[in-house]
Amino acid sequence: MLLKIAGSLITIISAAMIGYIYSRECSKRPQQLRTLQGLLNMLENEISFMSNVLVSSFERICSGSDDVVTVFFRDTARILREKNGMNASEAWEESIRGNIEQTALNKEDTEILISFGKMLGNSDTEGQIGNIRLALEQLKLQEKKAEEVKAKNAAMYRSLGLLGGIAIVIILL
Amino acid sequence: MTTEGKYTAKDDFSVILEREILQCISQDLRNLLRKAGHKILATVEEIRIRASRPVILQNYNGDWFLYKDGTLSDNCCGDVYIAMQEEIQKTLELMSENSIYAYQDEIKNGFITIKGGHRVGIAGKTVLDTNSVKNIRDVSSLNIRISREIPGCSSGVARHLVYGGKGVRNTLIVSPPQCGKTTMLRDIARFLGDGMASIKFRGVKVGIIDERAELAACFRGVPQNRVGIRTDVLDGCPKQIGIMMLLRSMSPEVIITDEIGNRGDFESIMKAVNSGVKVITSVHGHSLSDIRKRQDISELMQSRVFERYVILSCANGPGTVEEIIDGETLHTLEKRREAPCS
Repeated sequence: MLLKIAGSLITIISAAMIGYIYSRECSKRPQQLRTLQGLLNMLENEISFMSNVLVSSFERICSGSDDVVTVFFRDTARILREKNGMNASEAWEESIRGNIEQTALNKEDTEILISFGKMLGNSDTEGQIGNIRLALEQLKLQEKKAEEVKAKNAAMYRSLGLLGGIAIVIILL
Repeated sequence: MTTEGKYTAKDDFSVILEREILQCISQDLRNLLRKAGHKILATVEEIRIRASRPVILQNYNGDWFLYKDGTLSDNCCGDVYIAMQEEIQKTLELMSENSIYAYQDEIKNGFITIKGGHRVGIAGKTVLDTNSVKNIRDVSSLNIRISREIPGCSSGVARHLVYGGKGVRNTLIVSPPQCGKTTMLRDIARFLGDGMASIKFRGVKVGIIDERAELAACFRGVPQNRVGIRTDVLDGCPKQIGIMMLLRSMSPEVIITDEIGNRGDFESIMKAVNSGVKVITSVHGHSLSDIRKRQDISELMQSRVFERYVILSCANGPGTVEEIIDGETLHTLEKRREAPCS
């Protein structure tokens, strides 16, 4: 009997934990979208006030953060440093496509980022700032949507985990 | 201290070409240029890329058309390589390190200076802001002017420009375009700043006003060319303002500036000379009688500001010293010799 109780407890706890982990996965995307917005804000400063060149701007904004989304900027800077004839928008697109799997971002976010890259570095300061602001607005909307999804799904995954564990225990008993 | 001998090992030009120029050119064109023989590339002065027209390389022999198979020929027919506007835009992006916004002020003036001190002229559709140019968009032409340092090219004229251990003579270099005026001036700055042991010349403090970023070719403020160890460079500054600034701030013994042209330039040169600073500068022209026609310069000549005139030509390639003339007596001190700069 004691063994049964212990077994059921372990099952319930592990199922609840799986649910918890899934629910945490859901909060990754809004968090990454927020970080991206922060980085883009810093990029805006680098471009408008410091007039730094793109590569060093990218490296600077990444230096203070180790969030997974900085990989886009780091990788773009690396590709551009290699100087193999790619311009900023091509390097950015490659870096996005190559690293998107590592992040929690979805297809819509990817499209926004890639279209942001189309203008990267190829216009005057005003153009660059306009482009960054546009991307920021779009990412904000995405973040809002992601938060809603998170609110819905996080609770669902948690209760699903717990209830699933209980269901397994009931069936097995 | 002199640093002669330090520059004897000349950098291989093809390495410079690869590292500084080709890396900034869009992929297709870059590969073609690589295929084109280094023989002509080594003497190239300009690479001109125009939208929907052939790519032309120019050296002192004339212009060469680039063919699709990477060969060069001096007549334009058949399979010449036609540059696309997208290519030009991309090249410009690469040249500005993918940061056109950071080069905005330079683009406004119609050129950017890339690493290594090469100047790239830009033409296209200008965007006006009341009456000044705000931007150039739809870039249709690029002119890459390959700047070449020729350390030692002024050694032939050096002994005429200096006297004693530290004395420098006010000098005017007269040269038609593309005959090595800037190269010569740069090398003069180098030997004045470094000193030259062979003529027992100790270095002096040199101030360069580099209005168009050609002499010292500063890249982010640091001279890319060897302009001497005792040399200060005011980059991108108009000559009139720059001469006064340097006089006040850096106490130079010699001021070097390129291509004087307008009245204000002459006045500020007079100011510098009057305050005891030597001036070495250059002007467009073919001969003394040629520049004497210009009122402002003839005034300067009459006031005997310049102690030496150096006339350059392209007779034996760029940098041929045609004549060196004493400013006081207008006697010729030396006639054309073999080109030191080609």
